[in-house]
Amino acid sequence: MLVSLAVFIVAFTMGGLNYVTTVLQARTHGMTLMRMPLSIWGIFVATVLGLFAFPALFVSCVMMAFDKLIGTSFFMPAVLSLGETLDTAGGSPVLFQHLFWFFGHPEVYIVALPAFGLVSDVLSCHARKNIFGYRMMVWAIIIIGGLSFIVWAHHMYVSGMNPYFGFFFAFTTLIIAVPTAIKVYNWVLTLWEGNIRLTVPMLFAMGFIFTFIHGGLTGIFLGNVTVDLPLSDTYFVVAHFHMVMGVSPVLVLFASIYHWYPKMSGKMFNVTMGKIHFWATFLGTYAIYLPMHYLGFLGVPRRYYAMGNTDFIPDSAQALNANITQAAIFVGVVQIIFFINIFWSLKFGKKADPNPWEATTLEWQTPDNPPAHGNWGEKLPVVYRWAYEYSVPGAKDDFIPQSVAPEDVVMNEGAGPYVDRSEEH
Amino acid sequence: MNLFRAILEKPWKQQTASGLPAADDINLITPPQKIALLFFLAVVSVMFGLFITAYFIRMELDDWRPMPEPVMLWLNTFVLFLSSVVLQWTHNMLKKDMTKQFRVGLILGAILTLGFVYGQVTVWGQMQSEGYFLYNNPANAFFYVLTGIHAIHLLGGLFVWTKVIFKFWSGAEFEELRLSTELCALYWHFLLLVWLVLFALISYT
Amino acid sequence: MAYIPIADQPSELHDPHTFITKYVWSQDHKVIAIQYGGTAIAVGLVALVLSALMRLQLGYPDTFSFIDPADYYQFVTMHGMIMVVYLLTALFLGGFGNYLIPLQIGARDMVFPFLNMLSFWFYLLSVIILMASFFVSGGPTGAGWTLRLLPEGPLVLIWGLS
Repeated sequence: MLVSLAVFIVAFTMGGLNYVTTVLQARTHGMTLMRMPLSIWGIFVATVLGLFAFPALFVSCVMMAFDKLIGTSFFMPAVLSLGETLDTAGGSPVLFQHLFWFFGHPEVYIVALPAFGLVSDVLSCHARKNIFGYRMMVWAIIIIGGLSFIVWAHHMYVSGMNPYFGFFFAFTTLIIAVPTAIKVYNWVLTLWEGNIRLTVPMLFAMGFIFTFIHGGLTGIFLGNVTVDLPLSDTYFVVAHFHMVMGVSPVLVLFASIYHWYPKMSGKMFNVTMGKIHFWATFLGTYAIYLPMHYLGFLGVPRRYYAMGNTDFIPDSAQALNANITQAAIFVGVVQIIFFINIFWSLKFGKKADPNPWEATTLEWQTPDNPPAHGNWGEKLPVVYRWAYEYSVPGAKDDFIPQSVAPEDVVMNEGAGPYVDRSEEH
Repeated sequence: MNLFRAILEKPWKQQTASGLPAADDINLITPPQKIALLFFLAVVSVMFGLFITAYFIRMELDDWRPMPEPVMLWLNTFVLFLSSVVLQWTHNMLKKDMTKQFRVGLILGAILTLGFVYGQVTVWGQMQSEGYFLYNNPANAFFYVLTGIHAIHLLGGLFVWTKVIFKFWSGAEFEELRLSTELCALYWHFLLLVWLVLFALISYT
Repeated sequence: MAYIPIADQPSELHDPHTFITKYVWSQDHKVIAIQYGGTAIAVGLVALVLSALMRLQLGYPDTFSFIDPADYYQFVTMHGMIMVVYLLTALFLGGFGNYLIPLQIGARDMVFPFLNMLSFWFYLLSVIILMASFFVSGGPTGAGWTLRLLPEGPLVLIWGLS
């Protein structure tokens, strides 16, 4: 496990250096940083976070491996195990916790930021509307990335740390909710009065907004020291992080897989199966995690193998647990539909249009579908505007790809020439 | 502050005649290898920084027994310093197209680096023979881990340096090698700096 | 130093021809992305099964004799670690990052294609080591996804530290 993690970190560092350098160095003409789609911004900032956070995990893995294999005591305290004193002494488990969570909290955003970016692109495309507040979205991504390095100890309120310390981390934790909330408002405002097409990726993206708001709000409870103490290590925490860290990114994953599937495979997936998959997954996960909040209020502790006969836990908790299990098995089994859809469509699916969603970003404008080795044929595309030029008044199509020159935009009769006002948003 | 400037940029205000803002900002004329190396150095700094933080926190606990610093470490430091200088010199010779000196520098740099690593291993041997094992005390454990990881990074650099030597022997143009030697020299200076910090840490605590 | 920006360099791609260079030892970012994605989803399925086993134990305690407490903790640990690191991080950054970055910014490939390939193979190696730990005697680590220190045997002292 520790070795595996260390190897993973090496792999990630190699990949991460590659992504960062590519984004900084290999952009085509006209693609300034502030014209990149939000997906790229999310992935870029998350990669930078990863590069700086994974060393903490690496350090703790190395020292832990030494403790376990050679018998050093970086972290290992003097312990009494099964009546025998082990020959380790004096280490500091809290030191390990600090190192681990110094990685652990940025890790949350390493997963969340690409999800934010991808979902922004999917929402904007299927709502046929430009993303609301593009520049604000970019700043929010960067601010979240920066703040994520100074909130780690909110995972450790009950580790016996100095109360002032707890105050500081509660403060930063609540501050980080501000840029996150800005992003949620912007997504909702992107949908506002949009020409929404309820495609499968769009369903998943909208499902993400629900689960993310839900998980985010419980996070505000847990971010406060006084509220956290009684809820710490109960099922409330389990429900919180599964909503925000499990269900939400997985819904984005499905949205993105469905969104880019026609580009990756050149085939169209089965829409009916996709919709069944969405509703079963979305409702099913609520059936799992919503009751868990109540278990948490009852004080049911997490990580326990079995509750036994604990006085404060009523029998009804067990009934609820059984229901959760049924829902979980249901959701697990439903994922089979997804795999059938993916593999069946790969072989028997309709040939996909090169730009089935009528999107503006560059990947949909490739000469081949799926893109050939080298992506662009003879000549690299040139970028003239931002990535969200949807529903421009007077234009014939409701989308104008990034790589179409202003003079080539087809306008309706009598609408006058196209004026590129895209980046004033 | 490049990124900071970039996110405040208002692309619609800097349209050029062709309707294209210049994508050719300063970033694009730096070779990508250099950017990647700078990021890598930042990552390695974070890693050593965290080790050092852990070192200080662990030092507060009462079972910490400082260990003696072997005299040999001074010698090793000097060897590493020399190798760093030689690499820079080699790179300068390359710029001046002095083949003979360049060849000497290539080999000498590799030998000095190996010498440093060999010296570190000898120090480990001395420590062990004096009874300072990895597991008796956290101070010893930190010493072995820190020096070990530093040496591994140096060996990684040496691997790249060896590739440069092979490329040179198989007749590569000087122009192709220039970037590699420049970056290697930078990496060696960085590792020298890291070692000086580690050495100071080990000596004064 | 005169350096030509990547967008202006002539394309000099060597098209791979054999099946192996095209799909296995590929340096093309799209193939690597799909390799990353496929591996991540496969290992994610393992974690999904683990979570189902945990839920079975919680929903119907005393019914499944093959899950003992040590197994349960191992499931918790491995489920969390796999889902967060090996599935989500790898799929978002390794999968979608690899696929979308060059396509959306208009590049022909990653800047260092070889390094990119190496990154995938190291990732695969780490997954194999992780999976191998299920088969060694005693099973994988059971210290919670936060890997809290746990010498042999359950240790209430440390669990309480959460």
